[in-house]
Amino acid sequence: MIRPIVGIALFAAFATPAWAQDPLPEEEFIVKQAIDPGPNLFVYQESLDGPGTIVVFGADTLSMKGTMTSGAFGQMLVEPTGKTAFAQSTFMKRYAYGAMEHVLQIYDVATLTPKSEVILPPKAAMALSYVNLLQHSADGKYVFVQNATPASSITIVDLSAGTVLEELPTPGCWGIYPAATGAGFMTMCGDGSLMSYAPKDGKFVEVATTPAIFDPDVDALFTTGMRVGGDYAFISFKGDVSLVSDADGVPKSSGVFSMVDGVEGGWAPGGYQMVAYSPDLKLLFVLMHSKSYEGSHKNPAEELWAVDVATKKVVGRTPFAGFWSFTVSSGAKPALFGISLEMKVVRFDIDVSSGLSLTQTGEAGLTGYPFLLAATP
Amino acid sequence: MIGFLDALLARLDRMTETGARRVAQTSGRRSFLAKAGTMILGGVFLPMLPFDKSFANSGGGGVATGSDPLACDYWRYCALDGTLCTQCGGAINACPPGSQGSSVTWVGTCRNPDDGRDYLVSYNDCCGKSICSNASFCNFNEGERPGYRMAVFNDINWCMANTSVGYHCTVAVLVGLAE
Repeated sequence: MIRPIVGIALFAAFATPAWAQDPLPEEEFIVKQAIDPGPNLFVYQESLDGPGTIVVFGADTLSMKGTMTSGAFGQMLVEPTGKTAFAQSTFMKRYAYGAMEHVLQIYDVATLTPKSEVILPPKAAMALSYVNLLQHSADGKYVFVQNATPASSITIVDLSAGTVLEELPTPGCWGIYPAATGAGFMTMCGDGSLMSYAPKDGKFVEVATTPAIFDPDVDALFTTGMRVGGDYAFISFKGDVSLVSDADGVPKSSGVFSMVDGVEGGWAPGGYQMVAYSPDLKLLFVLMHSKSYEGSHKNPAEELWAVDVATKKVVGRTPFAGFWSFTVSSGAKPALFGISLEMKVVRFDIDVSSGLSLTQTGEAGLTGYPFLLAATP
Repeated sequence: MIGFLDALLARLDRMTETGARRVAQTSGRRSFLAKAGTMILGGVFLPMLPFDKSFANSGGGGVATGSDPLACDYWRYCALDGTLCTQCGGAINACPPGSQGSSVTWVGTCRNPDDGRDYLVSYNDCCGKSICSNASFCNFNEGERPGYRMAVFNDINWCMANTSVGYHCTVAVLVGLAE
């Protein structure tokens, strides 16, 4: 008789509390209509044979808010307010063979939905994602798409018309660097010059060409450029910062200085999105690795360096191992976001009160080939 | 080899990139690389791509000086960025069955550790199939430069000029001495 008594006692002990509660309510199956408000971090997860994605994280916590889907071999652009995003990518009808289309998709970020698209000439560069391969003009009227057939040209999309305005030949040149105002842009050329273009009578025409400002055979420039006031800052493979003014639409060098002169250890810049500028902190940040050699220019970082462009000095260095791309958000207290070899995006608070130090404040996993990221308010 | 280069350059000149490459084509290993690359753009084919977690597993970084075509650090892969066709049913100079050789290519100049000579290597992509993720993804960048030196740029899909642009894997074909 002992066993039945124990069993009844156990039944009473566990079952009675459930009976005392109301059952869980029925639920309505819905689709969340919009992402949560707040600043965002966008990471482009490129695919080499299927859909790539723009993944959106909350910039404060790196909690995932959702994705926007593109095709393969894509580029990402997020306009500065963070309300509209663009992806240029390749859609293959049979994923790897047969007919393909190059498409510019325009997304509403709040709802993570494509709101329109433009079919492009089938010439867009099927490159790894880089900041300056898909850009828009400062006046917001045009989107510029870097082409490679492999001959280089730029497709110019008229956003108000939703159509391709023209394909502009830019032989031997690469990258798109919009002017601070208006619709013009520069591109970087293999002879070391920069060329500028602007619209005239409805078509883009060449405005000016600099003399060679660098020698790709001696010390090439990375093609990721950062706007620093009236200049673009470009970083060289061997550690120079080259400033180019485009204030009046006519590009010209406004100075070059070295980050590594007198520094022991063979330090050099490296990575993909390997430079960022914070106008709030008035600092240029660069991914750096030691013991550099010919061919190490895409190696992940060992340190992050902070450079005061005004004084041409490296003002801080901090360990930053394993990162190949990064960006810095805007605002009174900018945060830094890096993409690492561990296929993570990591958030850091920045302290520049004494040199440079970083405090990790979050991380999230990534997939695909993530090389490009952007932070918006 | 000079005749080969001249022929390739002539072919390039007939393409749309006339005037594109205001690169110095005078002397020295680096300018030779630029010259050779310029021409090969018009002639043959190839691809390039990024790396992934395999980078952390010795897929890249350092200098490629090894002797095993199945390994990322094989000397011919000194500027290769992609998956190895040698691990995908192809060979060092052969795309796997059913794929297509890229009609344009990028080049590297790699030193053979056995004879100490520099060789011009054409990195042809094999196209029309999904990426061969069964293979190692390798990433070496000796002599690699950004897209303003397109012939030596390896962050782009060199299947770009094929009918089928899907990237499958990459081979490393010797096309002559870089001397």
